[in-house]
Amino acid sequence: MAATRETIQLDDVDHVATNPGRSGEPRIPALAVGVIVWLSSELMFFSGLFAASFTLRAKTAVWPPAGVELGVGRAAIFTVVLIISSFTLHLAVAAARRDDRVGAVRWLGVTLILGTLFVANQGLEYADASFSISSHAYGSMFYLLTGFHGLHVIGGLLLMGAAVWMISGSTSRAPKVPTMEMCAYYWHFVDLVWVVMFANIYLIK
Amino acid sequence: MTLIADRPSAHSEDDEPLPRGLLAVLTSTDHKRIGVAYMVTAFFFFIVGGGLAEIIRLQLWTANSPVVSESTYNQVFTMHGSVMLFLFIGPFAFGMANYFVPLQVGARDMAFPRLNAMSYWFYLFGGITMLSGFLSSSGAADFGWTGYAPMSSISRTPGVGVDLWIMALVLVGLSGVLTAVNVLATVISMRARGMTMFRMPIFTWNMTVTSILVLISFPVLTAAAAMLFADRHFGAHVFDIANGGQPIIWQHLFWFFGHPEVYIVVLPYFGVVTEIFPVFSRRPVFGYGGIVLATFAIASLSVGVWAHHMFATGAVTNSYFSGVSMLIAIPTGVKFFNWIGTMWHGQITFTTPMKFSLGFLVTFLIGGISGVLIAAAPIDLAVHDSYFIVAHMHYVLFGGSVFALFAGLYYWFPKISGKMLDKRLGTFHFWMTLVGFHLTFFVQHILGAQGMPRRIASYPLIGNWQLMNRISSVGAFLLGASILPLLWNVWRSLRRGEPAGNDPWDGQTLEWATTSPPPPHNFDEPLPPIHSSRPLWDLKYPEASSGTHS
Amino acid sequence: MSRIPTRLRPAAVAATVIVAVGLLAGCSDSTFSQPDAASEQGEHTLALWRIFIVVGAAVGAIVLGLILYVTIKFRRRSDEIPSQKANNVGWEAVYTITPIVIVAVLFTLSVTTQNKTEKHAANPDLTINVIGFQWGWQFEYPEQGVLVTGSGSAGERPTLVLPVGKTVHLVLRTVDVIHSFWVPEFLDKRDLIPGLDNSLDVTPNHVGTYDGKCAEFCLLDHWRMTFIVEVVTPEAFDSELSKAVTATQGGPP
Ligand code: HEA
Ligand code: HEA
Ligand code: CUA
Ligand SMILES: [Cu+2]
Repeated sequence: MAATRETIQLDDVDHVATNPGRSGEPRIPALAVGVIVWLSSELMFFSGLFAASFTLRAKTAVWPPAGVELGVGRAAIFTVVLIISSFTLHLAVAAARRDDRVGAVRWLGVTLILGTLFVANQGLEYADASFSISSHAYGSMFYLLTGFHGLHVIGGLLLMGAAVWMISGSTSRAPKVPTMEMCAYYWHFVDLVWVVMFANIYLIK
Repeated sequence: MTLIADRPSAHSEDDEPLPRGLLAVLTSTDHKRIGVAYMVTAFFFFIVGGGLAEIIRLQLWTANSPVVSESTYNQVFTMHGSVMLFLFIGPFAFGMANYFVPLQVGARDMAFPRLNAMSYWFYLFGGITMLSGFLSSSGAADFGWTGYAPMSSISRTPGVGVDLWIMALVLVGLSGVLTAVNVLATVISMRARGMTMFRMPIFTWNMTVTSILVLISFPVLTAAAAMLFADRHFGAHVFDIANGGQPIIWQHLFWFFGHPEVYIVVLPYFGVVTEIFPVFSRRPVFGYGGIVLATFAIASLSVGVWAHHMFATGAVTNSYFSGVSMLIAIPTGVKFFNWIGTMWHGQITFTTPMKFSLGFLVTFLIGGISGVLIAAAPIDLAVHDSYFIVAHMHYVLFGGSVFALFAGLYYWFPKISGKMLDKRLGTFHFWMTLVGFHLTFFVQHILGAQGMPRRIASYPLIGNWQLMNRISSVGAFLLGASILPLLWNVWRSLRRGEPAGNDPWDGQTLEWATTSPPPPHNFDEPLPPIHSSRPLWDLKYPEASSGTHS
Repeated sequence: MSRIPTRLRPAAVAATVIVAVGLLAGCSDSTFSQPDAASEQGEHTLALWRIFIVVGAAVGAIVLGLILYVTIKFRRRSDEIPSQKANNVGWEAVYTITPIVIVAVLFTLSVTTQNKTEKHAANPDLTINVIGFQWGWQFEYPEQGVLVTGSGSAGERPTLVLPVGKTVHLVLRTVDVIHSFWVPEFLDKRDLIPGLDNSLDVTPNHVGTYDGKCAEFCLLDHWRMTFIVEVVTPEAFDSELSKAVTATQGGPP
């Protein structure tokens, strides 16, 4: 948990400051605990969807059904885009730690653009797809998995938009480093889920 | 000498008393207010769920002669089970956690007070959503609290009540997850100086483990609910066999949630009685480490037994699920013997909380043992979906959780309100509950073994089924009436109860070290030094302080 | 009861009454409320049931005894502070290991029984296709070319005719929602699930008439989805079967 340790000195959330932990021992800030714990619940949510998808795959002779053509190459490209966006967000956090506001906003902006590209591609893929959610169980799982993931990406974009707004507004006194770190945890998580999903939908045959 | 442990220093300005009145309660982010709001709301749902149960028992009073139509009956038992499990017994435990976890670890509030208020609102809104199904023209959901596919498909249960039920599950589930996040963050990050994890009171420990289980299981139910909703309204086919779906997936996901859920609703109450036995025996908890370990063992096993609800499907490995289910008897047994060991050599006083805790021990014991019976797959195949199962679940849910809930209510009411509850009324309530309970549910074991299926709107006149059903119904009416002395007791106490003082029970844990009710930021006086799991006892009886389990 | 203080008498009395009523009710018959088994598989389950009830009652009685003992023996007598000893490794080992042993024994018995009751005969004497529908049953005898159907909603109870002493393979299917095939006298049941082929082998060993029912909730008329099981001698089988056909007519939608 190297990341959590680093945040300890940086955290300035009020109640942690007034409650500095037992006998000088470092204490994990509540915000970090909260976000990590929340993400673990998100993980279980996606596990539920994956479990359904694996069961259906195991019980179905032809999976995916005939007539389903997926652009593996194109999805791979946008998987890479999403992975890169994790790195750029990491750079944004690093900049924030250096107190480099401009750098933080810049890298956040890049991340936002990459994320938007990903969502846009997914929208196009939906539009082009030869099947819909109601074509067959495969279609249902495809749209449920990618749809819930897409919603999480959009949620992440809104979160980062808010972070940009908070940082660039000069009056803001918000504790930007912890906020951005939490954004990053979330975003890395959403990326990770996508990588598993990509492998499940596009690679394993 | 300094008694000061870690005392919040920054609250001098905001020390003025909290505003009073309804609006203040509604807008408050104080963990105690939210805790009380949770408990009051949950208790309201208990009465609603109990009222529905009384309709069930009225319906079954006479063979072949229904009081309500079969369709209404199906809605009634579905909503009875759903209300009791989703809106009453779990949320009540979260209310107690909200109130007492921060106090027990010496914190001034929960980690995220506003998130806390939000979870309460999700819960309340979810509850109203679920019940509002009764107002729709097609009625409330009517496929049992387990909502098996493909009964739940839009063509078979088109009613909007079902959709409201699904949405309620999502809302209440979200509320539970947010509360769990809050409890864990509070426990990990907000403990007072000296309050190491292994000095936390067992109630707090059990809420910690419960929260972990919530995080593991609730989101899976949310996922299942989302897929069901997509099937119903967006044309998806996850559970639709005609288009390549698999109805059995619902059962796996539902029970992957549902089995941990039954421990989610019992572990907090195990925690409650583990607070009570030591106090009224004037002893420390026997085998503290073992109890914590047993709690973790129960939790870990509980995520691996879901298919013991599915023995009859022929789609699971019965011996595996059978074995793991039986294993749970071992850590639960450890807890039982720890409770007995706590009382052993003690100086036991039979206060109302203690009576209910003992009632819990005796009743839960029977429910646990019937659980081991049905964990044997061949036996379960004989009694599955019969009244034997109804008996089992009420022995554990009511005999376990609700008895302990009453124990906790009598125990902590003085702290929350500053007033004592009347002991004679409490005793009366206890005996009425105990007798009513066993009258209602004991015969159901026999009915089930003799072949009476559950979830039937009417039964044939076989053997002495009608007599046994009537015994059960009389018991249920007594049980329903037993909440009257409780409500009267609470009402009377609030108006002219005896003042409780800070520490009416000679308590051991930190919540008794502050005023009753506690001030806005919980502790105006310095905390006692924390060298063990019972700092207050150590302070009061330094010569008898154990100082063990550090 | 002379040692029990007055305050505690109601508690002790109530506990005794509960236990007594429970035991009486349960022991009033040798099968502990289960019907007499009417199949070989059912006999195995019934034997297991008896063992589990006895062991369960014994464990319950011991633990209940301990609870009563501590509450009576260690009730408050003075203001003296009692022993604060909170561990006893020896006892902790005893009360962990004893349940482990009991559970191990129970589990072994359970699996042994399960292997007998869930076994599928390599060559069943008779195969019957059981089809459940909202809200009735259809029994198809492919070898005999016979179809028995009845709808509970219409007040009919179709008859499942089985020859005594023969192993019957029941193939369980549904045309709509989940149902569950249950004959209490066989001490067994199995679900009918869309998309899954489920089956059950039963060897009836007592001639007689039994009630069968749908155990899994299946909406409106679930409670009326019943049938009759007629276990007859192999000689009477054909004539009984032809009677069963004429008795009921309803059918799956
Ligand atoms: C508070 C809730 C709660 C709790 C704690 C339990 C506890 C247990 N339950 Fe129960 N159960 C339910 C709530 C609960 N259950 C509900 C609601 C249902 C029905 C759901 C539905 O279909 O609607 C159900 C159904 C259910 C089934 C499925 C029945 C069916 O549908 O056919 C099974 C099967 O294995 C089961 C088993 C067990 C076991 C083995 C335990 C064990 O954890 C019990 C362990 C405890 C003890 C054994 C007692 C103490 C131990 C000792 C004193 C040690 C010595 C003992 C021995 C060695 C035996 N339960
Ligand atoms: C914590 C959980 C909990 C609790 C406390 C209870 C409490 C009770 N339950 Fe229930 N029950 C379940 C959980 C619970 N139940 C579940 C999960 C199911 C399965 C549902 C399913 O199959 O889907 C079930 C099913 C169930 C059945 C089986 C129905 C069937 O299969 O057809 C029965 C039948 O007797 C029953 C009875 C009772 C009774 C008499 C009480 C009594 O304890 C109730 C006592 C009543 C009160 C304390 C309040 C009385 C209030 C008034 C009298 C005021 C009147 C108010 C109004 C009219 C609004 N319950
Ligand atoms: Cu078919 Cu119940
Ligand atoms: Cu279970």
